[in-house]
Amino acid sequence: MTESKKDKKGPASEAPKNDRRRKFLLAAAGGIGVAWAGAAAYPVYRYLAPQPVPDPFGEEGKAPVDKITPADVANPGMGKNGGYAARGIIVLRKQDGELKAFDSKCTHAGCNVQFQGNVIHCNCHGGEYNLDGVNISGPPPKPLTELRVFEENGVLYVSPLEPEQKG
Amino acid sequence: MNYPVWNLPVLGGSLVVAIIAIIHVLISHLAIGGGAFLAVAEIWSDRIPDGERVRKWLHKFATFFLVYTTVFGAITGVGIWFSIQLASPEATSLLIHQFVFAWATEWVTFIGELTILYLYYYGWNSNSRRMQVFLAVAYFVIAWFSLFIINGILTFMLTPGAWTLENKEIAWGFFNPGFAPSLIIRFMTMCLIAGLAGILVASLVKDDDDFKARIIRFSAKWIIPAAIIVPPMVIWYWSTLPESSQKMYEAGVVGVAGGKLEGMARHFWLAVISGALIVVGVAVAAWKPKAVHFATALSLLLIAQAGIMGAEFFREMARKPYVVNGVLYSNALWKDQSEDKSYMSEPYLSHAKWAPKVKPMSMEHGEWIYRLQCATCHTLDGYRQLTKRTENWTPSFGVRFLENLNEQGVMPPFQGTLEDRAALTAYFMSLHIKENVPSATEVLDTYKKEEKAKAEAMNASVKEAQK
Amino acid sequence: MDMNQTKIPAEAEAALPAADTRMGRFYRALLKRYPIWPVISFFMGKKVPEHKHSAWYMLGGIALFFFIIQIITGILLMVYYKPGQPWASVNRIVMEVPFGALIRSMHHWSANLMILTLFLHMFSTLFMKAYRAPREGTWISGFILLTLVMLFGFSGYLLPWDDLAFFAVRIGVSEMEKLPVLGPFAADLARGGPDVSMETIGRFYALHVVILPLVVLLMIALHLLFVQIQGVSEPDAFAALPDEKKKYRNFFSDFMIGEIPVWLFMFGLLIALSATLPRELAAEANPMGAAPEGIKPEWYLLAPYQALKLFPGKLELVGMAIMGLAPLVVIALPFIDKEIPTGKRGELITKMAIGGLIGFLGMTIWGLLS
Repeated sequence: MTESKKDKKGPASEAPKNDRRRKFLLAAAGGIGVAWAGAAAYPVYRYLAPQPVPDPFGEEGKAPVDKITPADVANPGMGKNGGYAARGIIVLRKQDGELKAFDSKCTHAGCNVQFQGNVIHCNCHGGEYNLDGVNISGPPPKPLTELRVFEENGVLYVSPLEPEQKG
Repeated sequence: MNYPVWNLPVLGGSLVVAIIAIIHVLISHLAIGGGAFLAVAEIWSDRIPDGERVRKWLHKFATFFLVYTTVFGAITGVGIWFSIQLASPEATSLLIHQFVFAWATEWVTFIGELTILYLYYYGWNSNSRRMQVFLAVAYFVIAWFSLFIINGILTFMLTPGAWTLENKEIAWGFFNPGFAPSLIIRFMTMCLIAGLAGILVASLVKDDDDFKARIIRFSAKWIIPAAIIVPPMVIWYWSTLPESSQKMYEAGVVGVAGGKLEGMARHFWLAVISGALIVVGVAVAAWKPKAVHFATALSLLLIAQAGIMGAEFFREMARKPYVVNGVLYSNALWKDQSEDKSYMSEPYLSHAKWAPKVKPMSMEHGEWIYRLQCATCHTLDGYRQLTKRTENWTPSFGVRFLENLNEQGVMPPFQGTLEDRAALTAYFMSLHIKENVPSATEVLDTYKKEEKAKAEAMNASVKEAQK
Repeated sequence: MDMNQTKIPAEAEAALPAADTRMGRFYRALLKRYPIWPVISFFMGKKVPEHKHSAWYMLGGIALFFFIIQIITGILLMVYYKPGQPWASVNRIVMEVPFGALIRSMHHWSANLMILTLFLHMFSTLFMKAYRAPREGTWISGFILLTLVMLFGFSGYLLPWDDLAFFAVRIGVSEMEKLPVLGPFAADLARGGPDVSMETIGRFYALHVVILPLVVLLMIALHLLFVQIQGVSEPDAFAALPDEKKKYRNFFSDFMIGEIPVWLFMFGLLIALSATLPRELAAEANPMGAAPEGIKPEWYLLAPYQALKLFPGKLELVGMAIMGLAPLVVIALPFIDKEIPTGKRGELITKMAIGGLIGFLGMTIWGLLS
C-alpha cells in the first residue's frame, strides 16, 4: 500500500498537474452526484411545499365578515375587530359616516391590531394607525391594507380595494 | 375487433408484455453498449503495456456478454413478439405493415450481429489483433444500427408526428419528434449499462495488486456520458410528449383514485431516482474499488433494471389510452372508428368476430364485453383489477360512468348501445354482490327510472323558476 | 503549545494520512483537541471474516437502512398526519399532497422489507450458530428488536383508521385479552376503553412515534455495541482454518463501503414496489359495519394467526400457550446449544430450526391461500 503511494507521486514535475486534474475530476464527479441526488429529492420538496392557498374572496370576489354585524358599526365612531376568510379585520365608521375596513395584520411584525375608538393600536410593539389606516407612530412602516366593505341583506362583506380607489 | 381475445387472469396480458420487455430492454441495451465497451477496451488494451492481462479479463467479460445477450436476449426478444401479438394483435399488425422494410433491416442486423459476435468470440485465440479490433468495432456499428431502427418504431408509437393513417408517410412516422432525444437517451443508457456489466465482471477479479481497481475505474467512466447528457435529453423528450401525457403526469403526482389510477408520475421518479442511485453508487465504487464485491456490483446492475422498469412503464403509460398515440386505442378501437357515431352506437358484439353467440342482456353478454373491451388493460382481481374499482357501482352510476368512459382521458370511449352498458354494469355488479344480483334488464330499468325522475325534477324546477 | 492539547499516539500517527495533506492536517488538529483516538481505534478494529457465506453479514446493515428510511418517511408523514382526524388526514396525504401516496407507500413497503430482512437476519445467524457464547447478549437483544419491530408494525397499522386497521387491531387486542390474569387489564390499557376507538389512536400514536423509536434506537445501539466489542461471529469451518488462511475485511473502510450500493439497490427496490403497488387506503373505519371480506393480518403475523386456527374453541388457550413458548425457546437457545464446534446436540438444534422455518413458511403460505 505504502509503495503504491510513493509510485503515484512519480517524477516531481508531473505530480502537481496530475493532482490538479484529479482534483478537478473529483469535484466534477461530486457536482454531478449532488445534482442527481438533488433531482431525486424533488418529490420530497414537492411533498413539503405548501399547497396553493385558495383565493380568500372566493369565486364571487367577496368574503363575508365574521363577528361584526351592521349594527356594530351603525353610528359614527363605532368600530370592531372581527374576521374574514380566517384572517383578522377591523370595520369602523368614521365621524363623517364613512364605513372603512382594514385587514388587521400590522405592517410591522404581523400582529393583529386592535380598534381602540379613536386610534388603531398594536399591542405587540405599540404601533399606531389613525382611522384611515395610516401609520402615525411607532414602528409600522406603512398603512394597513384597506378593504372595500359593503352591506348585503344585513351582512357585511369585504372585497379587495380596486387600485383606483386606493389613497 | 378482428381478433380472438387472450384472457389472462391475475396478471393480464399487458403486464406479461411489460415483464418480458423490461427484462429484454436491459439485455438489449447491454448488447449495444457492451459492443462499444468491447471495441474501446480492445483498442485500450493495445495501448498499454499489460494489454494481454486486460484482454484476459476482457475474455471473461465477453463470455458473460455472449451468454447474457444472445441466449437471454433472444429468448425474451421472441417472448415480446409472442406476447404482443396475443395482447394487441391489431397494433402488432399495424406496426408490421407500416414498417415492413424497417423490420426486414432489423432482422438482417440481428443476423449480422450474431455472426460477428461468434466470429469475434470463438476466434479469440486464432484471429489477428487487427481482426479482433475490426470485429469488435463492426459488431458495435451494426448493433447500433439496430437501435436506430427499433428506436424509430418505438417512438412512433408515442409520438407519430405528422404520420397519419391517410398519408402513411413512413419517413415522418419514423423520424418523429421523439426520435432524436430517445435515441440519445437510449445510447447513453447503453454505455452506462455496459459500464455496470464491466464492474460486475471486474468484481470477481481476485488479484492482490491494483488491477481490479484499474478495471473498475475504467468501467466506471462509462457512466459519465449518461450522467451529464441524459437530464437535458429528458427535458427535450418531455417537450415532445402529447399535452395529455403531461397532464396525466400531474394527475399522478397527487393520488387520483386512491393513488392507483396513475402510476406514470411514480414510475418517472423511479427512473430519476434510479439514475441518482447509480451515479452515487458508481462514485462509491470508483472511490474504493477494492471494497467492490459481487453483491455490490450486482446491486448496481439491479438498480439499472429498476430504472429501466420505471422509464419503460413511464413511456408506456404516457401513451394512455392509446397503443399508437392518436391512432389506435389500447383495446383495438381505431380513432377514426371512435369518431363515427353510428359505428359507436351499434350493438358492440355485432362487431366482434370471435365472440360466441350470447343471449342479449345475459351475464355472458356483459362478460364478453368485459373480455373484449376491458381485458387488454384490466383483470378481474389481479393487476388493475376491476372488482375493487367497481365496488361502489350502482346501476345508474355504472351506466352513466360507461357513457363518459373517456372523459378523464385515461380510457377509450365505450363502444356499444345503452343495453351493452347495462349488461356490463350488471356483470361488474355480480362480481361483488352475492345475493339479489340485478340482471342487465333490471339495471337498465333502474337507470331509466332514475333518469326519468331526474328529468321530471329538472322540469319542475324550471317551472318553479318561471313562476 | 497549549497545556490542554494532547499528544497524538504513535499508533494514530501511522494510520493517519500524511501530515502535509488537507485531511492529514484536519485529523491531527482534531486529535490534538479531543483525545478520541481510543474510540476511533475501537471502531476501526472491527473485521469481517471472508468466506463463501459472507454475504449474509450484510443483512443487519440492510435492516438498519430500512429503519432509517422508516424514520425519514415517518417524519414526513407526521407533517400532515393528525391523530384527531386520522382517516381524513391520511386521505389528504394520499389524495391531495403531491407525492403523498408515494411517501406513504414507501413507509409501508420499507416496514415490510425491514421485517423480512430481520427474519432473514435471524435465520442466517441461527444457521451460522452465531448465538452461542459469548454472543448470547447479541442474540437476545436481536430477538427483542424483532419483537419490538413487529409491535411497531402493529401500532402503525391502526393509525390510518381505515376499515382494515380497525378490525386488525380489534382482533389483535382481543387475542391479547384472552390471556389469563393480565390479559383483560393489558387489553383495556392498550385500547383506552372496552373497544378499539378514537381513544386508542392517541395511545398507539404515542407508542408508534415516540416510545418505540426511543426504545428501538437504544436497543439497536446496544446490539451494535455487542457486535463491535465481540466482533462478527465466525462459522466453525472458518474458525478451524489455520491463521494464515483466514482472510478478513476491515468493516468500516471496506465492507461497509462495499455494502453502500446494496443499500442503494434496496432503496431502488423500495421505490419500484411503491410505484407499482401503492398502498391503498380503505374506507374510513366503521365500528358498526361488517368487517371487510377476506380480512387477514399482515404476512408476518399470518403464521401464528393460522396456527391458532388449529386450536378451535376452548383449545385456543392451549394454542396460545404453545405459541407463547416459542419465543422463550428462541431466547433460551444459546443456553441449550453451547457446543463449539457443533456437536450432536448442535446438529439436532439445526434440524429443529429447519423444521421451525418450514413450519413458519408453511403456515404463512397456508394463511395466504386460505
